[in-house]
Amino acid sequence: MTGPHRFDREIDEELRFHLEGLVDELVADGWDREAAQTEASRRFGDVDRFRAACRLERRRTARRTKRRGTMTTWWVDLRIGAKELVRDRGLAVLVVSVLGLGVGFATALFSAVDGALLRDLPYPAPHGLAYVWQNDRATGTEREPAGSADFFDFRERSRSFAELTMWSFGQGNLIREGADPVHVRLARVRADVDDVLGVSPALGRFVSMDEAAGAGSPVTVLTWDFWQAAFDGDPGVLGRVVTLDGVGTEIVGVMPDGWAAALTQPADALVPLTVRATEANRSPHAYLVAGRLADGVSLEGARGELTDIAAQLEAEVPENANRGAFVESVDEFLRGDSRGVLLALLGAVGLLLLLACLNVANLLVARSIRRTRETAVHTALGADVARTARRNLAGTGLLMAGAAVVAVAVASAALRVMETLAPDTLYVLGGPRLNLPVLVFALAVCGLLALAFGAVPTLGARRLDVQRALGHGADDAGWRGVALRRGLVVAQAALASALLVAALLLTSTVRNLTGVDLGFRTDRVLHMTFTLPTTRYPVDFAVYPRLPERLTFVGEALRRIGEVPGVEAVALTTNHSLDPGFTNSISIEGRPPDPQRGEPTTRMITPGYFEVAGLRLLDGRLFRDDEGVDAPGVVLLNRTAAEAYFPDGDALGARIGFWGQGYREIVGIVDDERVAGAREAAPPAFYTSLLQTPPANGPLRIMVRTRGEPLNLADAVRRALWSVDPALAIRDVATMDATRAAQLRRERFTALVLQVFAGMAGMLAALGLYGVASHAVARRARELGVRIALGADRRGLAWMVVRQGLAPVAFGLAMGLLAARLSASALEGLLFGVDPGAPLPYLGAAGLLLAASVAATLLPARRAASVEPAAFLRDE
Amino acid sequence: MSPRVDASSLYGTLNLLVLRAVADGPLHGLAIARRIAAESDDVLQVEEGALYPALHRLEGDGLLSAEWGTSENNRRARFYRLTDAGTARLEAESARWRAHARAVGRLLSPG
Repeated sequence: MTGPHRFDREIDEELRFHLEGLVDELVADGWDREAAQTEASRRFGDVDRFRAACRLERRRTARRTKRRGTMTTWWVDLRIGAKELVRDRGLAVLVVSVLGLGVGFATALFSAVDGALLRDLPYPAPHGLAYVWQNDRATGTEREPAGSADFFDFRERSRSFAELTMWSFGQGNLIREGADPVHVRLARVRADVDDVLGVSPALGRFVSMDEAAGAGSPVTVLTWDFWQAAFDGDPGVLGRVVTLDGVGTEIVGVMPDGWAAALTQPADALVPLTVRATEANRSPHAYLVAGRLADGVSLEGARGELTDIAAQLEAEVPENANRGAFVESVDEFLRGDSRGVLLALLGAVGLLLLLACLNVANLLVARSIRRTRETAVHTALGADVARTARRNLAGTGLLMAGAAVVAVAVASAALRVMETLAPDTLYVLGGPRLNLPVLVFALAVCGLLALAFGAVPTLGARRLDVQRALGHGADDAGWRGVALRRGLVVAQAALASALLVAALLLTSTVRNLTGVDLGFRTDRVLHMTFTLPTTRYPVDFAVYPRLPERLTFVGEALRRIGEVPGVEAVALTTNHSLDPGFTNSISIEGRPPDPQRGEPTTRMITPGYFEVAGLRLLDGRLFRDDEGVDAPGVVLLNRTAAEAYFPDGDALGARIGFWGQGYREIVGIVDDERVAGAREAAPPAFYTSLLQTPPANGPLRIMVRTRGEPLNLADAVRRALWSVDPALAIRDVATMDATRAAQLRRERFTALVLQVFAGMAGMLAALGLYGVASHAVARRARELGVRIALGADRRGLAWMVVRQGLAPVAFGLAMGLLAARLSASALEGLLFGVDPGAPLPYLGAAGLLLAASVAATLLPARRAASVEPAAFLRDE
Repeated sequence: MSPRVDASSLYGTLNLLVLRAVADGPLHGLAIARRIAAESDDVLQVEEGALYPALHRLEGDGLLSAEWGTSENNRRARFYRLTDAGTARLEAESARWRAHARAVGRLLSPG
């Protein structure tokens, strides 16, 4: 018989045996049997109640045994591990969040590095691809595109390249049936661009040789992103005819995702480049030359050959004086910009992860010290050491699984933030994606940590002298842990202070850059961009500046936008205030040409610009609204140009010429504008009025000073512009404030990341210190109790705890500051207006860390001061 | 008559006494009851039936093991013996109790 019935019978039999034995005893003592039975019942108590209680106990035992039997061992261990975690909730939450944050940020940064540095370019044999740049020794310009004639010379003379091709960039208005006009960035490509890059179209075909030779009807090939954005990735676009700058153009192909990266500039649509060798020119320098190296030719070999060819051309062609050429790997060029920032960030995140690991080690070691006694008792009572180890592993494994989940969440969030804040250069190759290898990387880190930390309590138990652990309490046995934890505090304080210094340096940099007086105002200024198509606004240089369509457009646009309510002032410009634009060589009347002079930046504006930008007039006068093409030609210089070209102060009234046009009189001198951004001093610049020198090519900007929030007027301004020409594609609508902020993205991003990291590192260091200080107070509780009992000053004891806590912090701080000073030069390229050797950031970092450390020791210190002597005497 | 202490008011007393009773060898319930009565000078008086739920709980906790055997008067009886864990528990509990008893003793002794 099995089951509960057997238990019941056994219990009955056992109780009956006792009762009968009791009766026998009483009878033997001389009781008569009946009285003995009554007495036995009285002594025994309520049989039914005890029977029920026994059954309950048996059933409980049976349930426990059954459960143990059906659960596999690992499941039991996992459950016990989970229970222990619940018991140690605080610790579990700390470990999971600290590790989760550390591994999460590391994963995000590793994803970014993977996306920008490790991922292969989307071309076959990408390392054979190279650009041929020109440089201009006269102006110091580097990485300049070539003239089209230079390309044909390179192509004819070079043996290093198996193929050499070129492309240029342009702007266009694209009109699809039933949709708003849209601005497109064009790449004009030779048919062999496709062969050089070696990637076939995703749909349809590339530009053909015939089309590149100017034959056939107009065609265009879309890039992937534009196809997705403007045509929703519709495969039916092939064969569709769109209007590109007024010309019906057939879409014949779509290039695959990421293909356009090598073009160096974003492009929406590709159109044939129809320049032939016979009609090529030395300028403009608008043609990007790239090729695929011939088999067995190194980059250095090609570089040497192209340098020679450039030298030959310098000797043969007067226009090419001072022009060199150099070959650069496409791969290096595309990754170069992001490398510095990324590696700096990866370094920071590496430190952070190290810090997070140290803290987890600290917390788990602390737990293992607390557990030493428990483990020793278990082992003494015959617990299986392997089983104890398994249980520790299971608990730690659960912690790591939790950390991995948090890490993935943190990494995805960090990548989203990066996308809105990180410099565009990170996204040349498509940007970071939280990809599988990165995830595996994070999990591997967690797993290794689990193995390492899971083993600590077990190893401690094995090393441990059980007698000692039982006899003297846990802390003596775990003294090694205490030394270890103090060492961790030193390391953390060092890392935290180094990161704090870097964060403070970058924070000052952002503040300095934001505070620079640019020479113009960026508040309440709206700007937007469009391009006048030459089809409807023809440009004939033979009659320049008399371009009636363009001049009419400029006048009409200014009038209509000026009428928009809320607009205080409006200007048309070729470049907004933070766009350095292009330079032109000038001649000064009555002086010989001076090739050493360098070229000033050309700013083409309408008279309203001075009010829109708040640009100050220093001398003379500004442009007038009635100064048109028939009035005498006038020009303004900025202060730098005036001082550079007219050091005697006789600029006003002098006349300068450019573009082969007649001389124009300098009628005014305006303040410098930092058009190249806050870091760069203002270049020499001259200003002309678009009313006298109408825009001939390239995009035009509308700049509006508004009464209220600029973006609120964006629609009204756009409608006003469309009332002049409904087919204009308007783009890049933004405030100048936003444009300025965008230029600081790299610095802001780095500063933000460092602030986050340094903040976390500081908190982690404080956390570690708190652990050590509380531990020390607990360990010395008896001693403190005795001291207080003997009349020690409680405040003095608290201060002692703080002082002893700060000792390792101060040591770490000194090491961290030294390390920061030695490595600050790595940040130098990012800094502005901050001396990496100045004492302030170091003092600031020290102050912050010490404040956090004092805060971290206050609680343990108070605990030390409030020790009750009696409590500890009892505790032994 | 000596003063009596109600055993149920001291948690674990009965358990401890049971463990102590079987420390020298296996015993059945009736013998355990006698042993407790003898060793405690009848100071600790409990209803004898209360012994059995305690025995079954200690068995379930792995401190005792039980098997059926034959009693001195040739009847079938359930014998209990200490397990290793039971021995360890007895030692730990005894030490605790002795300390407690000393404290109480000092507390109550005059001077």
